[in-house]
Amino acid sequence: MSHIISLKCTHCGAEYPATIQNTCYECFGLLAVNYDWDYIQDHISKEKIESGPNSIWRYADLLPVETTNYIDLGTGYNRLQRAKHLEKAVGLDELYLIDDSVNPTYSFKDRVTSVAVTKALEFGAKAIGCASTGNLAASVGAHAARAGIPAYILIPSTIELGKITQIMIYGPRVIAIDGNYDDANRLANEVVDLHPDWAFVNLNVRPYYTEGSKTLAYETAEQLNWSAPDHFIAPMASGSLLSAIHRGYKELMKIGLIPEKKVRASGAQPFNCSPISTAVQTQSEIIPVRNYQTIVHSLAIGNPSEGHHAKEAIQTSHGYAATPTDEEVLDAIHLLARTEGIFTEPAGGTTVAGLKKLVEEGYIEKDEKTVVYITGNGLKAQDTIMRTLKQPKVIKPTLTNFEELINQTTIEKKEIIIA
Amino acid sequence: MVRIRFSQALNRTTKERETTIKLTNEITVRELINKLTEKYGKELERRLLEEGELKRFINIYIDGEDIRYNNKLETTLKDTDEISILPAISGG
Repeated sequence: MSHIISLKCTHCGAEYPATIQNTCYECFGLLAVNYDWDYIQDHISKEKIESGPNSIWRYADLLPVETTNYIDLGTGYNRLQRAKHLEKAVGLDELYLIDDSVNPTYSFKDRVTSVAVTKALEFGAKAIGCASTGNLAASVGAHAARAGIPAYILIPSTIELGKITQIMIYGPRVIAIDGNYDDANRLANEVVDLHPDWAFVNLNVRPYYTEGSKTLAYETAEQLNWSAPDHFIAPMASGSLLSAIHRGYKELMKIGLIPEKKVRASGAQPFNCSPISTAVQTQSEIIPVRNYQTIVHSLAIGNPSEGHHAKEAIQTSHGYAATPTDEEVLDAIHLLARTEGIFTEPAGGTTVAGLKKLVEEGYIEKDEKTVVYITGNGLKAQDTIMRTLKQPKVIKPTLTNFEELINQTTIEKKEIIIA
Repeated sequence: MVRIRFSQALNRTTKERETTIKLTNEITVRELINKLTEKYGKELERRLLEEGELKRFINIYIDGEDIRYNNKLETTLKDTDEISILPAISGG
């Protein structure tokens, strides 16, 4: 008996055996894991979860793997923190955050990669890989190293130097593409078509991969004493993270681990690449964006494959979507760092900036218990963020010079210049 | 010769992953689909089009460029182009 029944098309409902496959052969719709919820309900309990490992694998009964040989670098079960200073700064009564910048490769991608690589090995894949804007690439590199399996990683050549360094240190084959993410992704799609025994985590094992993101909802609910928040806000690139978190809360309600309630889902995308947010704001279809210039590389996906799922989650839950500018994103990176001591990359800045805008515009109510998901680490984007900081002044090592300096009025933040 | 590569998801219909077609003059992607339908049957058209337009979950690329960013199904092809028909899957 297994808790996985099949893969099911999210568009037409056609079902397939749970193997390496991502697309419906009838309508080309995306496939999702179809679970046996009665089986899961009979085999899961709060006590069982609470006695599990301090990682995403404490929720293994809700994840699409059969094996217990997890490729686990210790991802997840990150502390749900009350953001007392940030909540005051943005004007909310009760704000929490989960900081995924502390995951093993410093982003939320370790959640999805850990699940996808575990599943890929279960399927006997000969290699793993991905197309990535950087965070996923690092995560796949690290998990491939731990699993002892080759990895092929396609990245746009324009991503941050800090990310490329991190990716390469794990030893995968890195292929830099003269193009943007959508170009790298298209090529990766053709590569896995040619090598069906390779598992590209966000492509041909995608139905399993996306399930890893649900653990953000599980962790939040568990740490809110087994209840859901009123509202959450997440960054959007393909849209899969937001829709997975929303699904995660609904699943916990379905199996009776948390009480039923409506959880509002809101998202944020950078102004210059915001196909999902714009579609929400204008109540229109998602129109792909071909040319985009933004400092938020990790959210820069012009043609988001799960955009309609994210849009639906936002609209059905009565959430909304924000489109902060690059300047607002950088301001929000400063705000989070200076209120909560968390240094996030521009994707996290987008989420915080989005949170601020949505509160200001009345889309998040002051008394809603709100959770914001911080998905990546600022150390990866130092070259971008450094441009917003004033270099420290050098003094002679004397007490007089020190006292003189600290008594001066200092401007700590440069006027932001966006290239 | 236009070279056309099919996604695995079309395998049941095309029974092959790749084909070539000799063009004597420029044609549109829509006309190419008509030619492919003559070769593989009406099923292919049903898989790709809905009410005369490309289905949302399918991307067609000409030399790596998504036709949605060009003139969609009316985008013209040259005899040297490489076409890929792929599912629309992207992102993390």
